[in-house]
Parts: sequence; C-alpha cells; structure tokens
Amino acid sequence: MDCERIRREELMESYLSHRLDEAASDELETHILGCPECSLFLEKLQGVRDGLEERAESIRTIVTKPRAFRFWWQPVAVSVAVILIVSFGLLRWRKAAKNVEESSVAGKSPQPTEKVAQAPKQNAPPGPEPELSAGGTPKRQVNEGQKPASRVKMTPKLPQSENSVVVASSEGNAGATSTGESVSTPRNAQAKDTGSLPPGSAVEERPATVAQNKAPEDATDPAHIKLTSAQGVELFQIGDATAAPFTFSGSRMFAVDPKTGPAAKSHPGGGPAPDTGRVLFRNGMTAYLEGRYGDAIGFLQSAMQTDKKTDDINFYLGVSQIMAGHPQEAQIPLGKVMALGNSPYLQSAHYYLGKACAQQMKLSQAESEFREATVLPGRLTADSKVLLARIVTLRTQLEAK
Amino acid sequence: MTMLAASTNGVQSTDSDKAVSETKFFMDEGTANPETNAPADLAARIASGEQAAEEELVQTYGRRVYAIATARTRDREIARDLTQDILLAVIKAARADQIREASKLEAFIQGTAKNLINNYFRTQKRRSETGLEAVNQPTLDSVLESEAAERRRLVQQELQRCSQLDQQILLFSLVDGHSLAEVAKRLSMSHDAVRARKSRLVRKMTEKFGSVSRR
Repeated sequence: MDCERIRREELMESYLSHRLDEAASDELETHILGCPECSLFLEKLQGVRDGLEERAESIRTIVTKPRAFRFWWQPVAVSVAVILIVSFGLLRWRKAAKNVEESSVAGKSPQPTEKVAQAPKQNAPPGPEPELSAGGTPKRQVNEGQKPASRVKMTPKLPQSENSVVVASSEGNAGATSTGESVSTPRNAQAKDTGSLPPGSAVEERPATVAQNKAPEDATDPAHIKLTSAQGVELFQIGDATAAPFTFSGSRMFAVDPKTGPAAKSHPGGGPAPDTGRVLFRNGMTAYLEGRYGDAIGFLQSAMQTDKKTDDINFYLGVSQIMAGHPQEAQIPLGKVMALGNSPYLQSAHYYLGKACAQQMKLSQAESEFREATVLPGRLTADSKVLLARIVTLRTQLEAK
Repeated sequence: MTMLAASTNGVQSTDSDKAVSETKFFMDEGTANPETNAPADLAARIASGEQAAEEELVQTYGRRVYAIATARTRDREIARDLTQDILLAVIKAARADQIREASKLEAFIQGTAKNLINNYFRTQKRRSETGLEAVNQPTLDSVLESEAAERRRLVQQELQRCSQLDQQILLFSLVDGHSLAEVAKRLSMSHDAVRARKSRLVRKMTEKFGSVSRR
C-alpha cells in the first residue's frame, strides 16, 4: 500500500467510516504508522469529521425538508406503469381468446400456442383441453411474471398483498409495490369480472405464484400487513445490500501472482499450494470481486468441503447468496459464522443476515439481527444503528395500522 | 520532553510502566526524526537498554497510534488511554527483545494496537487504572489541544461556506459511514457526481490545514 493508492482509492475516508475490511485496515494502519504524511492526513480527516459531527443536527434539519417534494412524481409514475401493464395484459388475453374462438369455429384443433396454454381452464373458452402431465395435472407454463435470476439480483422481495401491484422495473425500485384504491388490482378485478383479466399476464400470475412462495413464516410479523408505496420503498432500501468489501492484500501468502494470474498459487515454497480449501476460497473471492456471485457460491461451497470451520468462507458464502438473489440461502452460512462466536466477521454476519431477513420481509428477525450488530464491535455499528432505527420505525407504522 | 528518560533512569523495572504512562506522546512529530532512526535500529537500541530510544519510539509513533485508536474507537478519551497501553506493551516487548522481526516494528505496533483495541471492545469498559492511580495522568498536550481547537474552528468556517448539498455529502459519507453508492442513492445523484464532489471537498478542507505533500 502506498500514499498514492490511499489517495486515489480514498482508502482513508473508507477507513475512517469503518468501511474497510479487516485485512485492508491492518495494512493501512501499518502504512500510517510508517508514514508521517498519511498519519497527518488521517488527523485532518478526523478533524473534518469532528466538525461535521458538531453540525450534524443542523445539516440534517436543513436537508430533510425539500426531499418531501422531490419525489412527488413517483406515485404518478407508478400509476402510469400499472395502467400500461394492465392494458398490455388485457390486449394479449383478448388476442389469445380470439385465436381460440376462431379455431374452435373452424372445427380445427388449434396449434397449442403459449398464450392458450397459459389460460386457466375455468376462464378458457370452449376449445382443446390443456395438455396434461403424467400425473394428470395440467402442465403449467413458465410463469412470465418470474424474472430470470440475473434480473432479480439484489432485489428484496416486497410484500404481495391483495391490494398491491407489482411495478416492473430494472432500476432500484424493482419489485416495489404500490397500493391505492384507485388502482385496479388483479384480485379485485378478478372478483368483479372473472373473465376481464388476461390470464397469462404478469399482473395476474404474480399473486398466485409469489403469494404461495411467501407463505408467512412468522405469522405475527407485521410485514404481512399491507405496505404503502413509501413503506415498500423503505423496506426495499433497508434490505438493499452492497457486497462486503474484500481484498487479497491481507493474505500475502496467497497474493496474486502477476505472471500466472489470480487463480495461480504463489505460496512461499513455490509449486502447488498445500491447502486446496484456501485455493478454492481465493478463486471464489476472485469471482466475488468480479460480481460473479453464482461462481463464487460454487467455489466457496467447494472450499467448505475441506475447510468447514472457516468463518470467512461461510461469511462470504452468505453474502454471495444475498447478492445472487437468494437471501433465504444466506441464513445457514451466516448462522455458522455466528455459532463460532468469537469471529471478526460476527458483526458483519448479523448485519447481512438482517439484510437478508429484510429482503424476505421477516422484519422482527431483521430487527433483532441489526440490534445484535449494533452492540458488537466492528465497522458496521453506525450503519446498523441507522437501519435498526428505520426498521423499528417501519414496524411501528405497520403495527399502528 | 524527557520524561521517559528521566523516569527510567533508575532502571527499576517497577518504575518502567509508570515512566511510559507519564510519557507525553502528543508532541509535535517534527521533533522526532524517524528517517534517521530505522525501526530495526530503534527496536535493537531499546532491547540493549538505551532509554533515549524508548523516548524516540514514543515521539515517533505516539501520535500516529493515537490517530489510529481515535479512528477505531471514535472516542478521544478512550483513545488516549489505549495509546498509553499500546506504547507500554510495545516498549515492554522491545525491552524483553520479543520483537522477532525488528524491521517490522510498525507491523508489530499495529498488531499490538489492534489486539488491545479489540480487547477493549470485548470488555466494553475502560481499562483498569490499577497501577496508574498513584501516577500523575498525562496532561493533554497544549499544542495538540490548541491545534485541535484551531482545526475545529477552520472546519466550522469551511462548512458554513459549503452548500447544503456538499454538507450532506460529507456528513453522510464521513460521519454516517455510508458508501458513495448509498449517498448517491439517498441524494438522487449519480455516483460519479457524488465522488467528484466529495473528493473536491475533502481535498479543499484538508488543504486548509496545511499542504499535504505526496510521495
């Protein structure tokens, strides 16, 4: 580590905000001890931070007011998106119904199109029976409403209540729900007119599939109460996770060999590294740093086979699961880190498990995880406190309902 | 600033801790000359019983250790106590010639600092004052105190000149500990815009305290 890199990558600011991982912090501190310029820079930054802390309240007061008006357009945008989705679905269903009608009138067996097959039996006009599977149950087509795994990465699952409508978006608010009486919702619409909704549309299929998948695990959890649009966004932001930092700099024994690349081993003795688990871990972390979380999970799970008690493997496996959009899978590896008790990853494990729980709408569990993280030593204390306060506020709002 | 040397003149091992605890480590780094005192030499000189070397170690590293302890604990009072403990532990180890790689003295100090700070967090209480009760507590160096006050004044002055948005960016990133991405999201700005603004502000504010030369 050198002064240039510290300035370029703003490592000192990250260090001061407790956002550097343990290995990088160690390296930076060793550098600071040997470098008068960097130690002076750290002192100055601490001075800036102290000054900011003194003014924190006034800064927060000033800036929160205009924010209320900044997002006035969001409800409008959500409404427009809902109308577009419903209209598009309706159009598709009508086309499908027309096709079936025409083919039955012509007395021909229609070509089984995707649209026809998706129509539920009770809503379908007279026509051919849906294709049956071996068990005698109708084969279901792939749900259009389900996005591929790559599209749901880092997207917390938000509640699907009867009055909520999913707003499809590839941006940060993907999956956010909107509730409003003026909006025509899938189930309400179906209750009014069973044939008026497009059976194959994403809008109709979401409640059927997602609601079943999200069987309430915690019946007392207020998350099952309907969320308003703002609360949905708030829950999304609480559950939104960024990958935990990691650098290879701390583990010199496995430093990247410039000649043979990151996957090669470069332990002091030369030749193959004796510890296969560590090599797999390194490969996993290379994939992790490149954002290939699926690959990272594979490597880390393999590393677990040889090195089951290593907390770093479990921790980064858990984080990778969250980043890959499988928050429910993160509980086991993160739980193992916690079971170790005295681990440097203990606070981070609670913090990320809290995020995973928030993504699964387990608000009470998320709250307890964030609460644990606030009392443990580490770099995520400030973050955990903020998230804890936000989730407590959200739960209070929901309980008040 | 010869408290350490004066206190350890008697070579009484029981007085050694006392001597270190009395040491004022907040002195201006300008008086120490780390370039001419390689860490390896320093450790070797302490091991050979040279008391001036102990003083040099405290002068060279005291303030830096304090900065690290402050960054980790975010409490200057606790950091001050921890700095005493850390320096004491390092000098004790050096005296007993327990620093295996003298050339890596800084890494040794860092490791000691990390362990003691983590121990503090585990116990969640300030270290026992036993053994130091009879000793005069180190008075806060007046230079450091006035320097800190001057810095606070300059920071306040500069912050008042900044726009509200700039103040927010600094607050969210340096005090609340949010990443740039989180700050950008919160302020509905692009990541690059936040990064550029933050870098400019940090540079501007730190340069107000004197030019920081780069290696």
